[in-house]
Amino acid sequence: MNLSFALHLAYRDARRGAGALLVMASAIVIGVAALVSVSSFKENLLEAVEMQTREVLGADLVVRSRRKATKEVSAFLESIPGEKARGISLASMAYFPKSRNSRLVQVKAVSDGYPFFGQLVTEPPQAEKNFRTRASALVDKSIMLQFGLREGEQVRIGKKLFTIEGTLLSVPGGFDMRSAVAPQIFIPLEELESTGLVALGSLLRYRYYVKLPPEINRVELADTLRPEVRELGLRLVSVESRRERLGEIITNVYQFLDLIGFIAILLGGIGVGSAASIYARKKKTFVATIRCLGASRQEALVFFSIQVLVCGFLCVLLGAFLGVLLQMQLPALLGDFIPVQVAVSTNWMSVLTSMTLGVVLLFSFALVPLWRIQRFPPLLTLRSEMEPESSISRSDIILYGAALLLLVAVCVIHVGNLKVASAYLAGFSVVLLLLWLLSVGLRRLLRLMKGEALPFSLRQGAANLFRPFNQTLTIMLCTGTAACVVCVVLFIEKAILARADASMSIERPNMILFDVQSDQEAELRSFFEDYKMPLLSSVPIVTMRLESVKGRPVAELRKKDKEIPRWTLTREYRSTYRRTLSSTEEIVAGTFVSEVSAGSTRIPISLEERIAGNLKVALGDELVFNVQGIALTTYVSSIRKVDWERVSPNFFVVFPAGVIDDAPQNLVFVTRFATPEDGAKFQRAAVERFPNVSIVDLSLILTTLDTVVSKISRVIELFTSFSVVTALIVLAGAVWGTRTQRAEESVLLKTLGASRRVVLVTLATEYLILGVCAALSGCILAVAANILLSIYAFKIDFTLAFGPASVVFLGVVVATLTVGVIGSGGTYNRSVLDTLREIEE
Amino acid sequence: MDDAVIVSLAGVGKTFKSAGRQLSAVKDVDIEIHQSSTCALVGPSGSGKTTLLGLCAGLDRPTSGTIRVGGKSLEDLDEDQLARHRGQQIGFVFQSFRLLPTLTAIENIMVPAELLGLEDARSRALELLERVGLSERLDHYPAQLSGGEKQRVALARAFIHKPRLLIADEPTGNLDAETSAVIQDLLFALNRESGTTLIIATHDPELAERCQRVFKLHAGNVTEAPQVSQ
Repeated sequence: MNLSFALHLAYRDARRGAGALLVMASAIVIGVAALVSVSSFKENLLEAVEMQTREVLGADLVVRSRRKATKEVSAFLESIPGEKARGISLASMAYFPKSRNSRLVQVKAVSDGYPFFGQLVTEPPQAEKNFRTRASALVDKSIMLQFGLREGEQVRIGKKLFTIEGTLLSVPGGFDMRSAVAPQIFIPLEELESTGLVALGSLLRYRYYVKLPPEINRVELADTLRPEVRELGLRLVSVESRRERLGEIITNVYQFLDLIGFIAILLGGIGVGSAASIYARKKKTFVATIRCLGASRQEALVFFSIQVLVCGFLCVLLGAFLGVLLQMQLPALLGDFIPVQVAVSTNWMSVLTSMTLGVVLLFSFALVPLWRIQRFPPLLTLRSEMEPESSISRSDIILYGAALLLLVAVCVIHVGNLKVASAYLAGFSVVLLLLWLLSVGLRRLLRLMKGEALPFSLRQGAANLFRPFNQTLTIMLCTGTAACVVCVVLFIEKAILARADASMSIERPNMILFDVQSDQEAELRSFFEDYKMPLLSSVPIVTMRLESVKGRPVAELRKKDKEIPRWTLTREYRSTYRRTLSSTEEIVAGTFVSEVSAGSTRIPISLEERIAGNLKVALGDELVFNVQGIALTTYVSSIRKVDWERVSPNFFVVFPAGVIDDAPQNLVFVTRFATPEDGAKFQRAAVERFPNVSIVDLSLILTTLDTVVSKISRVIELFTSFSVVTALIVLAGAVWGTRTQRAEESVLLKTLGASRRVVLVTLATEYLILGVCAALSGCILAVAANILLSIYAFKIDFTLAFGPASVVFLGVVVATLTVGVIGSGGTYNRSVLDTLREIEE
Repeated sequence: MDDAVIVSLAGVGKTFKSAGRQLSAVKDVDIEIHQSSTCALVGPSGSGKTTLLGLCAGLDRPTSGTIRVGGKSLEDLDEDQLARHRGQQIGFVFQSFRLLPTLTAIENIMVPAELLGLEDARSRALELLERVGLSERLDHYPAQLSGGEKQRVALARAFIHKPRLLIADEPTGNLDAETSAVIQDLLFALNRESGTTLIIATHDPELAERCQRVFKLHAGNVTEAPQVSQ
């Protein structure tokens, strides 16, 4: 084989034909950009986590507990070497006297020393030190902005008034999702007691921060401490475990975004395959001529392969460049969800890997059309009308198989998980298969429908969809898939918000008051009456811990039974007692016992089905609970299914009335306000009068959720848009690739007397039908996907989101029509002679 | 004329399947063509001229019979060996020129020589461009050349690797009478200079008359017309 000839010829040909070649490979650009940006950014994130985990954690080790330290725990904590700091966090209401506003916050009471690593960033900067010495508070910037607060104003937490020392700009580990619903307020630890919030039943989270001496090996110490930590019912978070967890989260987010981006590259691949087919067909006589002049099949193949690979590489390079630019924008988009400070830098290894993936994908999609090139016989030079053989040989089958295997291998290697990659490819293939079937059906239907009564241009436009060398299938596949992806994303977005919205429906509660003490019950009830607020329910909560399950002590189970999740054994159960089931529950086994006499030795209880499964207990099994020092022997009399999605106080364990009614307890009050103004007025007054009571305004949560979902959506939509842009490029490529054929048709029609308008309407009809069919197919597939997601993933009733579907439908139709008509290069508008000359060239 | 036989066809037939029927494009042809001779294939459209030309060039395979070109039996060669054989032995001139549109005139001419790996491809091409009177247009693309110029480039390309056999399919079919005459003169002049054997399929009686032998084709049957004086 004369490689030098093939190289020379490839270069010479590309000088004049570079446009067509670049159009062919350009479909891959966006997909590569998506992969480069997200994979390089992932490496940035992982590097940042590697460097900053101590700053995220604020310490070398953190020991967590939901209980106040017992003597054993204190002794254990004392035994850990190094400097220590403490923190207690709880949810409470913050009341701002000046503006008389209030809102649910996370109070974080921290001792001196915290954080050992990283810092509380405040405005003014010295506020970070001063709030500790002046017994004042640092308030999250979102609250400062929301209520227009200024430094020096006051905030009341529980019973105590704090001066606002400054604005909290950032904390070690960043602000999490919880902070979106309940922003943080920092106070000194020693001031927490005076707020009066450390009452019985309050949900407190204790944290012990440790800064180890440099000579101590952190990993070894953490390993040594773990058994005792488990024994004491605590949790230990080390820099390493946090790093691992953050790494997992980052990888999960990366995989999700990468998979969305991957659709773009696969669509691009289809576009490349289609464009390569058009390109190869255009080069039919070229190949025949060089073969006639003595070039072998291999030389012809190498000649084209070089062109495709070089142009593909250039497009991949462009994609990588765009990806690097896009990567710079990602921190702004993802900033709210990143726990570390990310210095964006290009990770060349990621760029290189993504580029290789792009080139290999491009080649695997272009392989089949390239292979066909060698089938163009040299006899075409004498008989240009003859068509190459269309039969499929054994080598063709081997090649098709190889291309498919290459594609699957690339996908598996890229995703890094055979199961995920298989599911992904299977899903993608199903979508493509369905679109292919729809495309075939459409062409058959159009062929059958003669439409003799229709004007010529409409008939001709429809006929173009099944003419030889039509691009109907490619456009349907790419545009339809893009429409489907966008539609599914919009549907999911709607579904999440609709589900949250459903909880706010007219008959459901929208405000919950918790941490109500027993002695406040009567006063609060009359307070409700004063404000004409309906008290929908008042639910008592008694805290308790599990002592034994089926006669085996919890301590033993924790050591020996690895199948029972630890949290089910060590958690503080916040249980209730009542005579009836609530509207969110239904009995799935046994009988719900409403009341027992106070002297009963074995108490029938109702367990939630999942906790029963976790504890491996069935009807009749015995559980012993420790209710503030008193052991209560119970047995499972019923198992309940609970709709946790409904906003209502739901419980794992429900006791019958008559047993724990007199145990120390607090209450949850559930109500519903009619208007936001009524809600705000009631909340303000309640916080003023009952400072220890926390109030959750569900409408605020909905608004927050809306904001969070919007932020996430923005990121997902960006990655989804890659598929859309790719589909448009493929569409433009298909239009551009067949424009000579269109020009010839246009010339012929004009020569025969068709006006410009007729040619234009013919063209528009073709793309209108194509756009409508692609959009409709994509939307139908999206609806099907959404029905499946509603049933199996979200477990909600399916509702068709007409809004997003209509937007996607119209968008796709308009885009297809516009790109189609504009991309045809105004063939309808040009003179016959000009077009003829162009065709000649 | 050299007495050595360069092309020999013995019992050559070619049938095609069309609409489920076998059609004979060429029937039982026996021809021997000598080195450096000039032959014309004439006949009405569909008579089998192009089929016979394609068979001689090794672009197509006969259904029956054997074809030998330059001493080699074409049926023994596979696709790529045939391509190499064409590259070494045969030059082509087509009615529709078949210049590669993305290559300049000189690059088009160089293609056969480059395929053979000849190092002096460029100097040969320049020489031939000069010879066909296009030395000023070496960097022009086919689209920038007139029909006559294109065919002159095609002629230069056909002779660059000094083929033993030149196959021309209606070389003047797309040209006006004046240009056609120029091309014919060039074709025969180059043929004389290089000692190439020439087989031309043509409708043009004038062109056919300039050949030493004329084969008439009718419905796939070949008969040799009486020898004309040169």
